[in-house]
Amino acid sequence: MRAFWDLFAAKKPEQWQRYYADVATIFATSSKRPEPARLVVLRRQREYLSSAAKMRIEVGRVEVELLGPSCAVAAYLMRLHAEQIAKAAAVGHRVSEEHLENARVTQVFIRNADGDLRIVHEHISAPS
Amino acid sequence: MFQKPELCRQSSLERLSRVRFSPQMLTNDAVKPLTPQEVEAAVHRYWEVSSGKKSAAQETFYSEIASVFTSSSRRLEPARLVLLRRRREYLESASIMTVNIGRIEIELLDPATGVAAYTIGLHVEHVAKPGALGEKDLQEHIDHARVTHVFQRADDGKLKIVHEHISAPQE
Repeated sequence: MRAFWDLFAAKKPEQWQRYYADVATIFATSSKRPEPARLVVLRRQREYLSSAAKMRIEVGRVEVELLGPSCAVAAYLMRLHAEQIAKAAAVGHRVSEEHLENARVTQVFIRNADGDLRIVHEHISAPS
Repeated sequence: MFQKPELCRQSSLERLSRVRFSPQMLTNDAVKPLTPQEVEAAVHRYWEVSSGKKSAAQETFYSEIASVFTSSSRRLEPARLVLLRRRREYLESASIMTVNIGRIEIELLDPATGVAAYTIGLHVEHVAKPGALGEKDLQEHIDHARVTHVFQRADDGKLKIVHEHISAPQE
């Protein structure tokens, strides 16, 4: 999980996107339905992983629940500070900065046939 | 808040050991492989019970070790704490709750575990929220509340929520 965010902050899209299972679904902070991970990955690449973007991510205390020999759920808070991004806001205009102080994250992991951990579901939100 | 990572909780390791080494304790239902239909039915039952304000029945949906991110919480909370608050604010007050469940995406993780991701329209009137000047009578309307429910089959064969994350989309 920490490696996943390290790769994202370091803008290594090929390695970062490998963390998602093919069937993964995501609730991003502003999405109004669960979306396929491949769609969210494309959007995040365009919005955050461009050459100019700068990101700082701090992951808080992680609560892990092992659900079986090959699956687990991680729940934690994180801070994200991103500058020089190209994110489309819900109201239509584009924003160049994003600051999430208490983002709540749920990630459900499974171990695949190769023994690697993959995210099958992700839910990121801000408290309302 | 931002401290070193915590290793997995003892409770989950204990449960795994129990399942792995004491299969004779399990009921027939407990070894039946989970199906998407069963998870979907559990989601519908859960919201029927919640909107019907059946607090005792609602509590039986949660595992003892369940954790919850509510729509407004700034930290992960034990389900038992959230349930006490919900009972006071929604289930034992004069509240009227309407829930419309959208399409449910289900992913089975292993024969005993599944994750359901879906949205609901949540409309509640007469919520009893505590305020500085006493209890307030409020309304709560979320058109696209996003819900993640991680279910796991318990030893008695029943599906239990082990993790819940409810949120409103950011504007």
